[in-house]
Amino acid sequence: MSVLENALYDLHRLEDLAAGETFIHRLHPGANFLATAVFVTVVASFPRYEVTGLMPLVVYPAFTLLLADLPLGFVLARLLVVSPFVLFFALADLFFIRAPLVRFGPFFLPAGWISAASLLLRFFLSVSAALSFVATGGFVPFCAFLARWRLFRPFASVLFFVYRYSYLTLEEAARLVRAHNLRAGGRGLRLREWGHLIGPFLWRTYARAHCLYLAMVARGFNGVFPSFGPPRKWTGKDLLYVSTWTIFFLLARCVDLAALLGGLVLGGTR
Amino acid sequence: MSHHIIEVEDLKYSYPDGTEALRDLSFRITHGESVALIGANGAGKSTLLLHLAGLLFPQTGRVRLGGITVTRKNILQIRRRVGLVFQDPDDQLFMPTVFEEVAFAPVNMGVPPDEVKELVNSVLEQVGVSHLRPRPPYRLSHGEKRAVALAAVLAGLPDVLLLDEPSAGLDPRARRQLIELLRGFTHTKIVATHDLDLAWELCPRTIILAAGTVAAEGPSREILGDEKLLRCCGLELPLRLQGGPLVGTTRE
Amino acid sequence: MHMADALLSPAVGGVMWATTAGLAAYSVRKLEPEAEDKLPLMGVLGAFVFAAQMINFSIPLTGSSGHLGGGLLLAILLGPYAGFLTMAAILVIQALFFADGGILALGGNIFNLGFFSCFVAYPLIYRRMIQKEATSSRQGLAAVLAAVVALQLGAFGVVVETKLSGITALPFGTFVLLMQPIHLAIGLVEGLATTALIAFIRKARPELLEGPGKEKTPRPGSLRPVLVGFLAAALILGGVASWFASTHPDGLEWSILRVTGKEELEASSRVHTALVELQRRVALLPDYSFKTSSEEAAAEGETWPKIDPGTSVAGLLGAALTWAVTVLFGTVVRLLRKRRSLPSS
Repeated sequence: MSVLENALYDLHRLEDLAAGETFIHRLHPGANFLATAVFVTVVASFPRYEVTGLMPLVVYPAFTLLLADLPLGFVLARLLVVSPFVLFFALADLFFIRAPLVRFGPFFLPAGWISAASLLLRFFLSVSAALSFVATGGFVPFCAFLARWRLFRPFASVLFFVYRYSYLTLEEAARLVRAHNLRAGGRGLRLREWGHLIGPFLWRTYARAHCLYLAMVARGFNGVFPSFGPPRKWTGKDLLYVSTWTIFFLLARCVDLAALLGGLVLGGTR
Repeated sequence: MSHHIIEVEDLKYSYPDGTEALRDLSFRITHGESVALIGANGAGKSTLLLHLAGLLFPQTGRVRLGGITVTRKNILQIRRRVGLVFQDPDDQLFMPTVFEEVAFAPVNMGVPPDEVKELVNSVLEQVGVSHLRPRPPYRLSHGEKRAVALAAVLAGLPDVLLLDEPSAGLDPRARRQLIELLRGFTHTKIVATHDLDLAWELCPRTIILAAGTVAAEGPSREILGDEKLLRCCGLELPLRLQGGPLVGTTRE
Repeated sequence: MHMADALLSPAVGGVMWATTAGLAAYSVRKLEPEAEDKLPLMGVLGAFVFAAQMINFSIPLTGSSGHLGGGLLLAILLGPYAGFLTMAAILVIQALFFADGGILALGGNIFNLGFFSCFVAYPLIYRRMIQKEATSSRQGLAAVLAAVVALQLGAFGVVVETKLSGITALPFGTFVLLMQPIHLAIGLVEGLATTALIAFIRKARPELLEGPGKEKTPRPGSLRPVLVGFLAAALILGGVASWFASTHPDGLEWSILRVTGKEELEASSRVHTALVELQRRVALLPDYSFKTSSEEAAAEGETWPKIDPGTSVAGLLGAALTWAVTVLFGTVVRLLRKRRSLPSS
């Protein structure tokens, strides 16, 4: 499958998952977003050489991925695709920070290893949280949530339109590439050819945008985009959800839960 | 329902790049009529429909609807009465769910929310796609998209229905359902199509467009049976007249 | 180049979020009067760029391939405000659906990829250059130059934001020397791709290239939005950065604070009491100047939080426990769910 078909597949996959029926799917999109935002912020706020302290935070993405029914393989696959830049920084840490930090008998673990591990761990945590955000709440409710603010309503509409028409442009682009590959005999697309392939595609896009506008006008659109769906009110459940997670995140940030747990176990065996 | 006579007089329209799309175009359609608009690709069918829907304005000549000349001033009034179903449903379906899609027109026209709900449900029922209500339109099959696009236009309660290639890309069963559905409507209908068998079954009258003007008009049975006329406009006899079994022709 | 959440500190990420939200709000305001038919166009063009980004073309002589970024193209076709918003929308979707960039890094990514192309390169370079005469070669040159500048600035933005976050060990100079040349190449490719499309539009639909220029774009020299954006970002970033620089050199003391902060809790476990004592001796050194150990000084002038084996073992054990329980729980729930769904379906 080409990149385009993969992207299309991912869009479909996440949207199908977003149609789930668990309680997290019924939460206010703002609650879901807030919890995710606090989570990524807390993860980012950990000091550079922290590894074990970050570990308990895995509970959150594990929880959301589970409810979203999003397989770990899906997340790991995305992780691999987007990782080169982060891996580069992890390698830089290995290279530049050689001072010994932890000592196990005769062996020293250089600080760079710790910070690289910490970096990769944060990367994993934030990526899985971001993916499960859409998978548990859906993108359209998120647009609707944005559209509540009058100022951001035009942006919410654009956001939704880009999303909605991506299904079509990705399909069209995949067809274009497929048709080229069938005749190219394994040779890549040259820039000149690319221009002649994409140019008409752009042109058709304009035609489509114009039709779309006419269709909206024909049905009474007068420049004010209606907000999406009925307004969704915050309920006690939403607040409870956000505050429970926030408290947990802050606790995990201030207290090394892993060390505490490990300490208790060690202490208990004594 | 008030009388909606559609009159087009000496209509002329050129695209911004200078291409002449319509010229000296005149015809008249009376209330409740079903008219087929046929012609080769580029004959001006879609451009004409955009004029009738008040989305393009004549450069010369005029379009009258129920005695009112279409101008930029009374455009909202005109658009309320006319419903245009686009050729490509993806151009027309832009809301997140089928329900919101169908509700778009009534909401814009200021119908109160509880009535909107009722209206949307009844229209979806009518078109036979109630089960699609919560689904996102962009995830439907082509046939389902077409049905939703039609429902979305019907929800605006138009008196005049303009359909651009309504049967394109439909499988035989969906096409048959569409024909039966349209046949049941009391709207004044103008159907731009290449599907001449559909024109034969649905529209008693046919107008042929060629190079932006009316090449011929008259009862469908005459026009669509005139092989010479059709050929010179880049068309062919309907399949049913090409030596196929003529059972279907006796239906009406 | 999309930054990931893992590379940013909350302070830098937050500042970039605030700046970008401000720019977006400003752009929406500038948009409103003419937005009616522009919203669908922005959306559909955004979807186009989104798909076009994934169509690679081969770059002659290098064996590698490149693709369109689209920021400059959107600015040319839609004007800077609508172009910026559309680019922002594309980046939001990439962050949420493809984890390309992240939620915290979103502000920074929109700034690096949208702001520089739409509010700097487009008005100051592209518009200026084609203002006098818009021949096709001049348009091409303008596009290439604008794209190169936009990407150089964007890449520099990545360097500055990452460096200020104090996440990477990469020295600033090395980082810059790595990023800028790579982005010179990427910028050239971006410019050439944009030129190819502009050339096509020029032939097919020349009016599209004039569209936004005639209407309400800032006058081709208007520096206001640029200055506003820069100033806001620079002021806040500067403020935050200096505060962090003074109190948290290299994020180090956070670590130290963590270690000392933990002591009360850990004291409950008797195993640790002795170790906590040891920790305290190391950790309570208030600043670099107090450091006497030659071992510390040898470490490239940097200092490390002392992590003692005892804490590490407890931490690792606890972490392993949480992960084990989580994985076990997840597997059990999955299995139950599968079993439940089998008979019903």
